Amino acid sequence: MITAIDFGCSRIRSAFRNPLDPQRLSLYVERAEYALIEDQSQHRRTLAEQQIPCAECQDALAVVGNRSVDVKWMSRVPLTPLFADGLVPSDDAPARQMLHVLTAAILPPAKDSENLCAMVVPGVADYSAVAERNRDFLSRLVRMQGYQPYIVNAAEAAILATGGDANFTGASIVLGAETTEICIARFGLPLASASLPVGCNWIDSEIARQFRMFAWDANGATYLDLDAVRKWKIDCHVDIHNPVGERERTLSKLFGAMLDQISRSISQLMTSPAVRGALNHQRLSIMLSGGGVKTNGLAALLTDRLIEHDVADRFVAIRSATDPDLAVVRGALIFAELEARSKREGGRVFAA
Amino acid sequence: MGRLQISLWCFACLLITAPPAFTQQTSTAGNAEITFVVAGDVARPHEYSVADARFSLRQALMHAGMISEGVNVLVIRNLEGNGQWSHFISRSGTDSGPEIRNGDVLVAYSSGQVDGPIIPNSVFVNGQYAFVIGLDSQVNTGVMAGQVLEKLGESPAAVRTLQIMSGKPGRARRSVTLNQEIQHGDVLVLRSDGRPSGSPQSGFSPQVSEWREPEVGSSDSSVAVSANAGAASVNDFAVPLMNSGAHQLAIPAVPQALEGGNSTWPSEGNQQSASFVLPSLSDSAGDDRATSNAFSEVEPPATDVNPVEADVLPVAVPFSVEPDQLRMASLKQAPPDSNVGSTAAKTVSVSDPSASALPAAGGEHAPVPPTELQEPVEIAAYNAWNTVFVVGLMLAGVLIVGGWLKSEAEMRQMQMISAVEAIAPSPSVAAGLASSPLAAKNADLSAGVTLVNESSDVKEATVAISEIDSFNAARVPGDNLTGDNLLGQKEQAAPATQAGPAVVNAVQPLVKSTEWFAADWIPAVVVNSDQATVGGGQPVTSEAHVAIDRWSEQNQKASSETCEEHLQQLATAENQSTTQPVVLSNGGMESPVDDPVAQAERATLLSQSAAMFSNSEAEDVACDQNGEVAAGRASGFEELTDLIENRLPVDLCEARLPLRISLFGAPAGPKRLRIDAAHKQLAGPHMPLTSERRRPGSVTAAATTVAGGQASHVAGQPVMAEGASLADSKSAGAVEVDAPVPDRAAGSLDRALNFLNEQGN
Repeated sequence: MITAIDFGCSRIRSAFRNPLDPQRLSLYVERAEYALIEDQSQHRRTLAEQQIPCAECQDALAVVGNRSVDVKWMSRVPLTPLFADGLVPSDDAPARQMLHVLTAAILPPAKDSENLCAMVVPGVADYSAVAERNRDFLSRLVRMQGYQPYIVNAAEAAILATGGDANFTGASIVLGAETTEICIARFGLPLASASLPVGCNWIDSEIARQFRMFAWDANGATYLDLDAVRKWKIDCHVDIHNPVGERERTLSKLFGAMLDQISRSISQLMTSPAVRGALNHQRLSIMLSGGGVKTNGLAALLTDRLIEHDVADRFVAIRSATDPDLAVVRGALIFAELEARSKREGGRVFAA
Repeated sequence: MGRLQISLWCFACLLITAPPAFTQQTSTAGNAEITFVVAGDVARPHEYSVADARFSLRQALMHAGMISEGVNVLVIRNLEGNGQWSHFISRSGTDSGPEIRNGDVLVAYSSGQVDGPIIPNSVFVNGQYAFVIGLDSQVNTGVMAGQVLEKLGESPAAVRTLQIMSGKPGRARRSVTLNQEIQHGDVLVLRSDGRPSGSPQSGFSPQVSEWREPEVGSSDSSVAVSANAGAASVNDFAVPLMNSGAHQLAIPAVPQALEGGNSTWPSEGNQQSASFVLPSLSDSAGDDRATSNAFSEVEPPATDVNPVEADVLPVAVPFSVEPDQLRMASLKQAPPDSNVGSTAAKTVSVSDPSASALPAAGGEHAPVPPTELQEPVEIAAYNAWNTVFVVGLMLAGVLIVGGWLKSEAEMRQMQMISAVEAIAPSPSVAAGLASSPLAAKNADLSAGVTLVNESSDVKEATVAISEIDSFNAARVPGDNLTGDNLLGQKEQAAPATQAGPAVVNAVQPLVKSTEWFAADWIPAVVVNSDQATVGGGQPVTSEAHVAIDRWSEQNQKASSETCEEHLQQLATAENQSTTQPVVLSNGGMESPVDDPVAQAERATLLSQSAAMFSNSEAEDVACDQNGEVAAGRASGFEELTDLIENRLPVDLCEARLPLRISLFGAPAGPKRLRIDAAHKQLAGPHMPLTSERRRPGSVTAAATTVAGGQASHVAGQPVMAEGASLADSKSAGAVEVDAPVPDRAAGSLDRALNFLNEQGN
């Protein structure tokens, strides 16, 4: 079984071919959040009557995944992310166990000998000890399901999913919830990559903080209401390139600050020796993917930033993935199938 | 014999190319000193001379002093302004840029925040020299192009083409008039239009000799320079510009910015600051000025301002360089007088250890960057490897022409064919293969495309081989391969066992497989999967890029080439069947051995690979009605193509979580989103109370329970006793996360109302 799983800070997705019909793709998408409600008999009864899976924690009940939205009305506390700041929480034992539950639920059972799973891990892709622990923990979760994990960079996977017509050559940008991944690849081989610890959650937090979009729990504690910000962005069809109103202008400035950082990183990557040696004087395409790509006017704003950094002439076009949410997990699945093919060919030859 | 001829040919090439190589090395070492001009957004815009023929663009900017993180450099290669381009140089980047040449003009434009003072300047470029012009930002009127021409004694633009180039956005190259204002960073180009730039009327012949004369840098009567380490102070002095003395450049006294003590110039040790100005228009008319006392020629001002300042044009702007560095940049007309030799001796060499220190005042040295910015550059010298490299290139070229070097795909296919031939010659081995179950499996893998050995007793033996190989083996040498007959023969060869005898090309290979250079550079087809085995649960190194490359190559090939071109490419593989057999192994290739068992194993191994490749290659040549190769299906990645191109229908499934599970530990909750804890005390009444009337401890406190519990607050019934502190509430079990809001009973409005109330009372 060849699968791919994307541990995103907003959603956890898995994709694999339908075992009965390989020409169909099975996809699991679960929210990487859980709702925390008080452990009361009324709440227990309600959950039981509505057949909502829940977990009993110490002094509280937790509903993880997509059903957490259904029980949000029971608690005024906002949903708790499973990956706080893009990392597996070290001080939240139930969250770590919920990750295991979710992983077991969305990965198909491993049945044959060829069980590969390409996984995309959250957080900044550096070699720090924290990131190493992150990868180890999630790799262990995948391995517990019987799969051999392969860690794939999100931008590298995205370029496999979106850069087929460009011979997998170009720059890939994945605007995630907590991080932004950038990769410049040639024929699918990454030449240079960067990982920025800034994502759409930072923008939503700043909007909520500046415009005082708060939520209060029953005790009076104040929380940032990120759901209200997201709902506003979706309902109002905000165009960050042509903002209208103070809030949209602030959103545009925040996106501009993030894209400015991205453009600066691209400029540095383009001047790296590896890129200059392999792609000298070759104009590339930029493939955008990730949840943040769905914001209107993002490509135009990125174009402005690239012009400001004098790297716009190195690119032909900026393209958004047709499925920005699923491009990463689909690319990871492509990676896994290519990996399996390589192993299969090697194993066939060396079987004798 | 053929190899001997090629060897002799290469040796002859070596003999031919050796003398030029030696000559080139010698000439490079002799042509060491280069001169260039740096202007724009740099700390020290000036002309520089370095004794290093391999001076990079980045080093040049470091010499001039970068004042921002990154700059776009407009490089003007020839002084006519024709050869130009832009290059981005970052202070922290690794790009050193191209090597600059003698006479280059570099104009820097900062692309980010500037961390140093910008000295307004521009560059005048003639067909024969370049000249940095300082622009005074404190003077309202700008500098006209005509003023510059007049001061420099150039002929008017009527007989030439006057243009301004700039690397700034929106200021592209354009023609200008004489009253056009010059801005900072502009490059004023005077093109000669075929005429010599030196105007015979004015006798202008820019040279660099006079400014190097000792009296210029000395503090004689005409040039009085005084400077201290702190605030630069420059007295009046002027620098004769030309040998003829027809024009002169006056460097005025202390500029106003310096006199006010607000000097923005870098005060670097003995480095002196000076204003570099052009004389007034009225002063430049005469060509008969005496060169002996150039400074007396500066006419007194008509106004009551500072004489020197009144005399100068508003183009005067200081830039912080040494006075003797304020010279005309005669880049291509450096006089061959004795001073040049001394100048060359005093110019800064990067490899010189003494270059790390700033040169003394009056010295001939160009500004030198700090030691850490200097990159060690070796002077070009004879290197035997250059000659070896040239010979190697020529040898490779000869081999390419001879058709001996092949592409990677061709070599892979050649390996396949050679390996199959390794197992084909022996009838006994072939028969054994046929009887073994592995051979039967291989025959299945070959999808019916088989080749029968020409020996009659082994006709039953089948060895998997690609369809293309069988066709190549069956075709008669000398046949012209066209698309039609090739397809026709393929149709005959495809269905089943080929009846005709296999004709093997009898051409002997030039390079035997046993020779040391035969297969070292051939990429191995087989990747060792054992190397990718996971150890200790660690993620393995990916091999998918090999498959990606193959998919990309084949897909690109399939989408771009026509069927006929592809078939022609296949037809060129006629030599592949004649290559001596090689054996794929774990570490690369081995020479064939005579062990039958080993050959049988290799047969199985390679037949599987051949079957794999045959499927892909057989589908490669499948043409659609438009004559184009069907993309994607050629490589066996057709099932992956749908996934890559996102054509697969997606079934969104719902995860089934366990209905009830027990988790260990207490959940942390959304701590990251919490910005303020619950307020334990309420604010006081917003009433205009005086300090006497305000009742102490009248604030009602909220009752709190443990976290997660229900807050109960009954208005008017304080749970906490009066005077109870926050510490008491903590000790009573209340959880305090953040600091509570201070008990500020009165805000600004309250204070104002209270003040009015007190005033009323």
